[in-house]
Amino acid sequence: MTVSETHSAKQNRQGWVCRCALRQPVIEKTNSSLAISLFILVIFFLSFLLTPGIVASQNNYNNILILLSDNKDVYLDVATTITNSTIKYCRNHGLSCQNSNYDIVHISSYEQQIHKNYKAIITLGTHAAIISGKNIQNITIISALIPKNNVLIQENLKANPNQHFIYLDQPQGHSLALIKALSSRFEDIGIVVDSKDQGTVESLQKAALRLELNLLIEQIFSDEQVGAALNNLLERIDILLTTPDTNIHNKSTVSNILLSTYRKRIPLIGFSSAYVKAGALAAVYSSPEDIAYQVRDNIIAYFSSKQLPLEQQMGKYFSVLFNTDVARSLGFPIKSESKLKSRMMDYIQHDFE
Amino acid sequence: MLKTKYYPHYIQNLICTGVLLTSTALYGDDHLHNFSEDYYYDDLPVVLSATRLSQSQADTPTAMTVIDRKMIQASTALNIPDLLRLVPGFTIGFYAGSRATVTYHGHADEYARDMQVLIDGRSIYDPVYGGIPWSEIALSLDEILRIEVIRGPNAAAYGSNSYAGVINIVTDRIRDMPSNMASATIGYGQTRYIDAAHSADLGDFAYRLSASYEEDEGFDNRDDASRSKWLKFTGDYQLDADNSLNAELAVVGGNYDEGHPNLLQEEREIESKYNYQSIAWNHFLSPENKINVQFYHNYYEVDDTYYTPTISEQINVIDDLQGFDESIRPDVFAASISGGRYDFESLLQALNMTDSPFVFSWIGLKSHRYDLEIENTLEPVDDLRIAWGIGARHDRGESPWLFQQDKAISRDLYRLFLNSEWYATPSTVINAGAMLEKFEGKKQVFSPRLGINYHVTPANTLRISGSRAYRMPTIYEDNVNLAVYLGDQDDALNTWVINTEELDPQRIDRIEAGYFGNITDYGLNFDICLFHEEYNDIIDQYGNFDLPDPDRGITDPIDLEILYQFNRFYQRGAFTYTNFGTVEINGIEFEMNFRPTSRDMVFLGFSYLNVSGNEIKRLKDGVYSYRENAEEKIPQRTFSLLASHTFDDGVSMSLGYYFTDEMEWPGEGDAVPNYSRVDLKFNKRLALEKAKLDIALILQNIHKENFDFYHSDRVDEHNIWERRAYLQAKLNY
Repeated sequence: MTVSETHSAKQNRQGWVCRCALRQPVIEKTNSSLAISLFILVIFFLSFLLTPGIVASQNNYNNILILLSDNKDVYLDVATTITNSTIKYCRNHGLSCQNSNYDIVHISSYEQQIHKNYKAIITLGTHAAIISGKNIQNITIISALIPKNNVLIQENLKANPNQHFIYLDQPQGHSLALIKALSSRFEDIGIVVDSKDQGTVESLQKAALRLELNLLIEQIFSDEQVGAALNNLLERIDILLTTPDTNIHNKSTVSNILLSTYRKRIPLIGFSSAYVKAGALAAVYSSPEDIAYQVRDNIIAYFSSKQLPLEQQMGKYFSVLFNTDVARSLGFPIKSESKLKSRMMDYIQHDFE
Repeated sequence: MLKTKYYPHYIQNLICTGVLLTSTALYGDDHLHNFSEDYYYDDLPVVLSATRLSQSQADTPTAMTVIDRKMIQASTALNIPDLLRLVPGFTIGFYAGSRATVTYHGHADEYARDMQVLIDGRSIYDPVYGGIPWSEIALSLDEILRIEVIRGPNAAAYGSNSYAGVINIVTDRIRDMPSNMASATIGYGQTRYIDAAHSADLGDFAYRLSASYEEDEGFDNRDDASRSKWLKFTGDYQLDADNSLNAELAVVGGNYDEGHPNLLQEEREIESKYNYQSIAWNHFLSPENKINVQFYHNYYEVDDTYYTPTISEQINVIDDLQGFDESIRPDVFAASISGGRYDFESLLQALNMTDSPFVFSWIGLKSHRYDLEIENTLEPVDDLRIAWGIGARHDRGESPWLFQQDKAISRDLYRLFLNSEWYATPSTVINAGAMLEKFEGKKQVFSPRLGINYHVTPANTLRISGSRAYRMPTIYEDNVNLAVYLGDQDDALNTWVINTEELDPQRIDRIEAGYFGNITDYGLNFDICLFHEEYNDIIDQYGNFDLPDPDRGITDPIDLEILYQFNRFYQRGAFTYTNFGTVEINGIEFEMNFRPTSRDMVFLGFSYLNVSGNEIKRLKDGVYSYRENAEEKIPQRTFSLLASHTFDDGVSMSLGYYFTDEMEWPGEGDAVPNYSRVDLKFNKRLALEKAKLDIALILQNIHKENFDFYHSDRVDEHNIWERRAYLQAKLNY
């Protein structure tokens, strides 16, 4: 059973079989979409080859390896967007990376002997980031599609000096910029955070100060305090902001959080598209495409200068989702997502470059 | 070269099976988690689906006032009727210190029958006597999340009796209330209110126990003290993601000093009991399809039986006889009504009477309401929401005093309703709905509603709507046979109120054109509404002089005439009900809610009415007499203002002003001059370690005296609002 294939302008390498994946029926389910996607990629690259004037590189050291944590669509979507967008960008700008090959491999199928043939390795997802960080040395690793507050990621931050991290999380300033873009009326922003999560608190306070917003923070010491903390906030705030924290926002708590805020007619800003679909007014988040473009930028920077911008990067590109049904019910004017994005840019400080 | 063999076998197994990613043993810091990217991309259950979202004010087809928690906290009101003074066009009358009547566009007595009032979907309208027993509803202001007041008929959406308006009270969820709450209020007229509540969230099950005791002396110039208490249990059970149950039950007891110093309204104590049980099941077939089943039972009992002095004692205090010696006054009285034929003893004998007290009850009753409703809310296609359902109701009243029969009188109702909200275009909302009702013994009635809201811009909405609704006669109006008895309940002496005809429901038609502005960036919304209302077939009480009293077995025509003269001394003929007359109201209402920050609020309400119509007064010798005085019964203008600001140190201040034009209260009430009241409230919030303590000073009516409901010099009946001051402490933890 083939679970992954190598895509390159020159060769199609035999895919590897994940020993453990054989025991996981879920992989079989995703095989068809995987195969279709890969087939499209192959066609794309073949047509690319046939274009006159393009000389395929024979130098393996220009190639990029993309390691996926799993066979879920999201990893594959990001991987294909990275390859497509990077090739396109490099070609349009005449960069050497236009001749790179991109191999997309499931982490569990990865044969380690070949890694030295790559200029850089991109890992997608937490699983791939951890494994590659521990086991692959002397080659630049860009780990993307990972949550910042994951304990394993944080523990391995310094383990591999060649590993760079691109987090899924958006900078706190982006959410506050979204709030500013939604309405100048929103001044008192409420948020419930874990008392130990001082990093989030500090970055929020910094961004709030810059945007002249008043932040009302309820710090909790256990997840049982979420309800009480929320109730303390709701009577004093204009809007509730959420940040990723599984103890506070998870499948069993979002229902109560959304109902409590909605019943008090307080809009809620989520941190994912799923939160908006569940009932948040809006969210700024990293879509798979946004992550892919950030990885592309890193690859290009690396090819150009052998340097990567930062060891740890927050989400640079972002998407906005707006729930028109909830807005309508709250008596909040319907906003176009593109206009919100452009208004947000006025409030965003580009401090991640 | 790295090969798979370099992976320690046990690690690889852990990776492949995902154990590593879910292990909690690796947590080094509580705020860091082992969540993966799935946390960001996995779907969440859709919570605020189309079936859960309520309609915004900009999309509602009728004028609506929303009183939310901020307004409740800022208000100086200590009870719900007083809070409702904020609503444009609303008239509130306290006919006793703690008992009130609330009406929209007036023309209502102590038991305003013109509005539907719902608490979490449960109608609290009393089916027997009509009106809302506001002091018995077992609800403290702290439990209310929001009060939505629909100004105008809306039977299609809110059920039977959504006639002149609807007051829809929504309480807070148990999970959103503090675990423990205690509140105490002391002040004017020996006011002593204590409220306490405890709630707990046990995961899928949450409950709340609350209790209240309230006593006060009422108006300072009257003996209208009240003492009431209630105990309530509420439980929420989340069976699974798609099913939830809510149950609530409460018992209420109260007694109230009542009456005025006159013969048949003497001071007495009314006892009341109230209880209700309600259970609701919410079932989501899908996020776009919800079924709600609700069953409830309300029980209301009033014991208002009282005895007058004996006949001779009554005669002794008649003004015109004060020139005679007390020992001969009864004989003088007997001689005067019998043309000198009888002295007092022989008069009693001739009329088959004894020198006993009268005994009667104006409102002694037992009332039941059982109601079952099944409602289905769905979004069959995008931009169309439908709520439809069926309901059945059984109302029952028992009162030997009001109906002269021991047997309970019941009435069943079946109803079918449908409401739709259709976003025909992104800027056009069409609201259409109707209800078909069949009351036992009545013709079926059809109450339609249609409204079109057009959003000129997201901030500016124009609307036009029309609706029709009915108010069914109460069980009392349909069956009343109230008499004054002599000595005991077997001896009816004077028929006081009696039903003499089949009554039809009274009807209202309203058309309105409105503008709603909603400028979110400034926290400002306002509504201007022009309307025309027509009230037809109004169920009116009038005095019919031709209605005879019981003949007491007397056959002699002269004695019958003497009996007539005796009864006439108390009341000539009897009161009865008929469908009579039309009232037309053209008016404009304005409302503004300005919240520039979360700490500031200004609410303004204004209503101006142009009323015309008439009222039946009496029937004598087959001739009706009436007068064109509807405009006197309805205040021409109402105005309300509530402004508040919260300072950094937890101090908040609010100012309230309420104005109601002069008017004449129907029923037992009187013509009262305009009511103009200024209130102030200072609140200091102390944030304790694990609790919040609010201490408030509430000043009501600080600038002048006002008269409320009673203002009769003739019998010295006045309800006088003086300056009132209260101190309130609320502890939440």
